[in-house]
Amino acid sequence: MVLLDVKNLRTYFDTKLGSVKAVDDVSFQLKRGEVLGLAGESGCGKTTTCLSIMRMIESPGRILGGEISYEFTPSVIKSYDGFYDRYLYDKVKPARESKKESTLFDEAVIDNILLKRGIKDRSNNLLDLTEAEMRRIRGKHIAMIFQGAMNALNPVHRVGNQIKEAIIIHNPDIDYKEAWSKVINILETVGIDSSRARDYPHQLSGGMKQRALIAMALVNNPQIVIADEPVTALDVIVQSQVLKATKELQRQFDLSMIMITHDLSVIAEVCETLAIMYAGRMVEYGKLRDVYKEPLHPYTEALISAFPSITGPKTELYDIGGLPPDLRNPPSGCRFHPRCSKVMPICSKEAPRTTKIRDGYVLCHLYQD
Amino acid sequence: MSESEVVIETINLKKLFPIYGTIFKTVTGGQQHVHAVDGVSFKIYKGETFGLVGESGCGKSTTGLLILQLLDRTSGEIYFKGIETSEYTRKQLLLGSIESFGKFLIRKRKWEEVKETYKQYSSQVKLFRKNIQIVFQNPYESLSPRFNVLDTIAEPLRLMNIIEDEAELEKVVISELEEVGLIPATDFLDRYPHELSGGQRQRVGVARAFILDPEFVVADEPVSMLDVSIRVGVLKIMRELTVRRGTGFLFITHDLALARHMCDRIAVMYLGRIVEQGPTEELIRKPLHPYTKALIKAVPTADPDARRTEDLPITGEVPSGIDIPMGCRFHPRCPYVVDECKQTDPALEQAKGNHLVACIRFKEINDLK
Repeated sequence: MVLLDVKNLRTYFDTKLGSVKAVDDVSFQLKRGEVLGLAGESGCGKTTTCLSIMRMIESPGRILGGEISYEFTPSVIKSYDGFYDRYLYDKVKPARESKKESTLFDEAVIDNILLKRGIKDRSNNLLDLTEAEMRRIRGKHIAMIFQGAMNALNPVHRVGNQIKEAIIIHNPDIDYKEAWSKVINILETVGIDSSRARDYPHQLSGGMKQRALIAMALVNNPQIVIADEPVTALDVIVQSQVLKATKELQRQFDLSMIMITHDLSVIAEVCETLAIMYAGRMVEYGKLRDVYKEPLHPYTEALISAFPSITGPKTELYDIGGLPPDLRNPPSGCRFHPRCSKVMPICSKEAPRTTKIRDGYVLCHLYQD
Repeated sequence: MSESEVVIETINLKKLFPIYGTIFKTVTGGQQHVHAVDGVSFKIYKGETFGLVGESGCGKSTTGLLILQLLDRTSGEIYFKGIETSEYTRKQLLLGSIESFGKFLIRKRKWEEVKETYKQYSSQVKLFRKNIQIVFQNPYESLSPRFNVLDTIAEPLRLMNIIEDEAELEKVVISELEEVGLIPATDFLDRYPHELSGGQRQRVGVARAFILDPEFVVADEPVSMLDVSIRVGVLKIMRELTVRRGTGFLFITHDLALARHMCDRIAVMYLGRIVEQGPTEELIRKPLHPYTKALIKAVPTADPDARRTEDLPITGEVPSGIDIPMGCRFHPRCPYVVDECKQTDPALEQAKGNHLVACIRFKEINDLK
């Protein structure tokens, strides 16, 4: 079942010197229980893609177009009671209590809201939601593990309380004691001793901080987890411990995951599908094994052979040469053509179209008919 | 390799950083120390790349700084081409000058002699500094934003008064720029660091280190800040330069796969000590120390068919350098630990040829003899 379907997503950042086309025409799908690896160099738009899915692009960035369909969007809106914001909730509490029953909107009301917003069909496009509705999905249905475990936690709050906050925001009715027991549970699931819940972030080691962040993302039982460079700042041994824990949790909770990383070997270890991005475009997308064993796009091939390996024979590393392009004025035609080893005359003139191939696609003139 | 080709030799090098606690502790002698480097001995030969590998906090960077005299050691010896390097420090220059000036005051020495001694000392310091250079980790911070490329690279030449003529200087800088692959070199001369990409900046850093034709260069994680596609180019240049010019090269990295690619010999550090040292391929293929084994196993493999299924043999994280475990410092995490390990502190001993290991049980573990 396709949970998340991203179609032709475009996110640009407006600057004085023209708009930076950070994400340009990106499409991919995420199935239930699937782990998708998103790889590429820095500045290629991996993080921007995921922030667009979370609708967390801040000005001067904006999502110009495309569609992000999340399977459960209508049911999430349906259960939307309008008083989602916790502070707002507190203010209207007396009114709620007097009514005694749940204030769920009925179908007609939702249809009315959607009509007012000019949406005829009950679409499941995340880009059509209001900010308040989106906040209900964010962290509850689609959660994110942020980059840099060392800085992502608040240094002045206890780790347990920071996780508890995530629970309370999404379940305003919950008893604090019950929330705390949830915190303890989730910490133990990710492999942190419950006695550490009352510690401050500086008392935890790097690996434990990363685990705490994973706990924070998982505590609301999300369906999709986006992990942005989850193991980059960690040492190899800790990295392999955290990766192993992540893999186990993914299986245990039947999570769909998007794993952003620049390290292809991390992706080889955990993912099932692989998407390679270059200069805001997704140049190759497909099953991990296919892409790894027989990379089609010249960039994928170069990227894979640029990694030193610890097993197997010592091979010469491949030097791609050149620089990633300036995304304000990307090269004409195929964006990779100035650095490509298999460049043809057509590459600089015409942008390649996506060619469907082996359950995925590739963006290259070599495979176009 | 003969002894005459040893560029750098360290013997039982130690560096303790004091932790400032209460005055009471300082007075009563309860002063605590972080044992950053705790008895490190190795030799680096002419034209050889020596890799220092370990997790963060194991003391690999401190070792590099100690060799360069950028940090004062607590104890131990460092020899540069057979001469104790403490002779070359500024402190020695100062002390020597004061001593000879004192002798002048009590009329035991003539003023000409005092000047001569000072000259001797200062030329010694200069000669040492000329022959020993460093490439820093972060190219975004290690270049002065107010110096253009020409000035940055020419600065060492000017300081050493090697070339006086400006036109000549420019010629030398251009040829050096071409060697590090910044072509056309004349285009780069007038640029400032902010006009260069990360890879180009690091190439400037490499050019600056190599322009004086040093006999020994330390590179502290030179490519960890660079993108994969850029990395390979910089590594290749460093490898070429060191091999062609016969420079002794200390390559400090946390990435074992990278070290395998760059180095002739590798030393693995754990908590301030070298636990294993040997020729690269031998160390990677047949590691003898349990820590090295775990480290190699922890490196993710870039091959989807070779996913790791078994658990890592070691758990936990590196203990702090303040309370070093008794006996073998690896024993709390070692899977092969016996009672003897908790008592005896193993020294580096010869296992085979120049493959050294610090483990009392390495023969039993590896079924040797």
